[in-house]
Amino acid sequence: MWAAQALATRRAWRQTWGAWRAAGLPLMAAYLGGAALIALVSLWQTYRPAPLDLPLTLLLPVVCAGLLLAALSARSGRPPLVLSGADLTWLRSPAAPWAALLWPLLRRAAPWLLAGLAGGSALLAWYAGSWAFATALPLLTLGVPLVQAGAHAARLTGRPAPVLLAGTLLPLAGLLHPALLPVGAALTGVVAAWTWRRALHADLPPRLHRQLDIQALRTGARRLELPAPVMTADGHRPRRPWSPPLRRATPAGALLWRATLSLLGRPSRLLPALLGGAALAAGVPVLAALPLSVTLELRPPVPPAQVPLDARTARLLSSLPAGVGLGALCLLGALLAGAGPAVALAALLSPWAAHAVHAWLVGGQPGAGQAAFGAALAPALLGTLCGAAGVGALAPVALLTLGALCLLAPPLG
Amino acid sequence: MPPSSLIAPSPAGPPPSDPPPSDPALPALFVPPGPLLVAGRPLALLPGLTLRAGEVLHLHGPNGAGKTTLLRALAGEQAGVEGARIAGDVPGSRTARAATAWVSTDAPLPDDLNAGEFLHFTAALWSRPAGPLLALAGTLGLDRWLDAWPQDLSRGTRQKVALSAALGLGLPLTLLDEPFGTLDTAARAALLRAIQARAQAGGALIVTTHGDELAPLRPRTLTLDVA
Repeated sequence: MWAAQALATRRAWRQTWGAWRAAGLPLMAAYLGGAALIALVSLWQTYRPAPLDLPLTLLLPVVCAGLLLAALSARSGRPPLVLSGADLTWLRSPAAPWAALLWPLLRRAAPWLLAGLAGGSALLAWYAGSWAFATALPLLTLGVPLVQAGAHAARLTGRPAPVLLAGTLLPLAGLLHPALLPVGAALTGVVAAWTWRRALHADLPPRLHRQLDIQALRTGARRLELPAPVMTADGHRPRRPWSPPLRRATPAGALLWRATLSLLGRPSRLLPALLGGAALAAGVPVLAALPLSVTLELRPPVPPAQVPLDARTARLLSSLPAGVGLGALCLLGALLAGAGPAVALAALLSPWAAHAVHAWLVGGQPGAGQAAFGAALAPALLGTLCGAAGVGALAPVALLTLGALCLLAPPLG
Repeated sequence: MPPSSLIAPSPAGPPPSDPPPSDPALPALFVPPGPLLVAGRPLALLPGLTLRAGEVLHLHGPNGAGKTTLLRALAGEQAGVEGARIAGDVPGSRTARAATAWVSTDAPLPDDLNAGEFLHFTAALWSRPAGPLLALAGTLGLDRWLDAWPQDLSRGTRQKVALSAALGLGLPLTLLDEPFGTLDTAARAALLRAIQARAQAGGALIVTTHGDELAPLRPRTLTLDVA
């Protein structure tokens, strides 16, 4: 089973590396890495002579508070591990649950450990006097995912984990003698791992099983560039904070009501519109497209084919609540960033235009990834191009035209 | 929050905007004799068919004979029946959509609305009051499921929700594809009564089944066979 896991991990890495190469990421990373190295050497030459004594009395309470926060912030509805298909298969075998989940835990812990090793090495090279903290740093960073996993498993099994919470304070031993800091950090990891293994020794809690299934579903959707299913970690539909009443028993009233429900389904997705507005005011289309693409998850469902209404009218009506709600937030963001009247009006119309372009691109298909980003980028780019061409005042008209054309044309998807 | 508090009460009197009225002299459905086509190829040979208000047609035949294809074509979801008319217009047109209710075998429900919201939404789309839909849902034993999301419902319960919506609308033509398949005994009896009531109220229905559930209604029958 370990060989199968290793094979699956190698394949995933190969796939990720292939995607990165196709996107030209290695070249960009090499360039950025080179620039960072030059900056680092320059800083090192400037500041190395200055002696630095890391005040452990200040540092260790902060570190312990961080570990304690990692334990306390573990919520039963927020599983820290992400499983692959092979992990799920192993989980269904008669093997102990902790053995099946060990590989995902290692996968999650590896980046933390590597970051700690890199930080510790840099610290040691910079200030040899801080050897105790530099040695303990990889163990402390490794402790974060272990503490999170242990606290989550303990919470799901309904057992309090006072030992785990006490374990997060063990690095304070470094206050007695610096040499005890790495020992305390290592013991924190050991206590967390022991708590995690003990909680998952017998049967996996059914709720955790369900959560892991949902996590795997999300991972698969992300890999296929599909939108993540709209459900909580436990697989339930998220509760709407408020549902408006259906007041008008007409096709138009029904479509507007349903689109408003869709908008209220996930209020946290509304806030990126503020950032999008600010980025539009700053004239940075790519930065505006990133938050706007998040708001596209609020696009209402395609109206049913049997609705006794013209398809164009149905699409137009369905786009209005998201356009108005998100547009108002985008406008607010733009005004807060100091936008003028034309840019503010363009910001008001941009989310609606982005939704219209997205609806045209993907139609009834669940679209995400590049289609969503492209749709969000289109109005931002159009507004910026209008500004660059000296006809910024016409940007709202251009956006209105873009949105209307996309809603009137038959969808591509 | 129960759906009853989510939904404003339906206004008394006639609905605000009725769908285009169909001529009562016109048959609810007219299909000329000819082939039933799938991707341009004949699947079955249809005899001429005229269905008037109050008539129930029992459509049966072996698997693959084209029963579902015929219903899907009449619902406007695919081409396949040349010259067919629903309320005087071609299947899939706005007039035909306003006159047709359709429940497929898988009875898909939108995943963004709970069962109660779906019934209200459907009623509003056809400018009808939601009362009859909710009453029929109660008859089918759905009262305690009105707050539930589709993914939490069994296939049979989803079927009941879809049937409540279709039959409660009271449209001139109702198409039901194997509606008894997933229902329990009590719900089957309730559905039979609902079909009968719909026919007595002047609705025309086409129902496909493999069994004899419709026998008490003594419907017209049409047998499709593989061409």
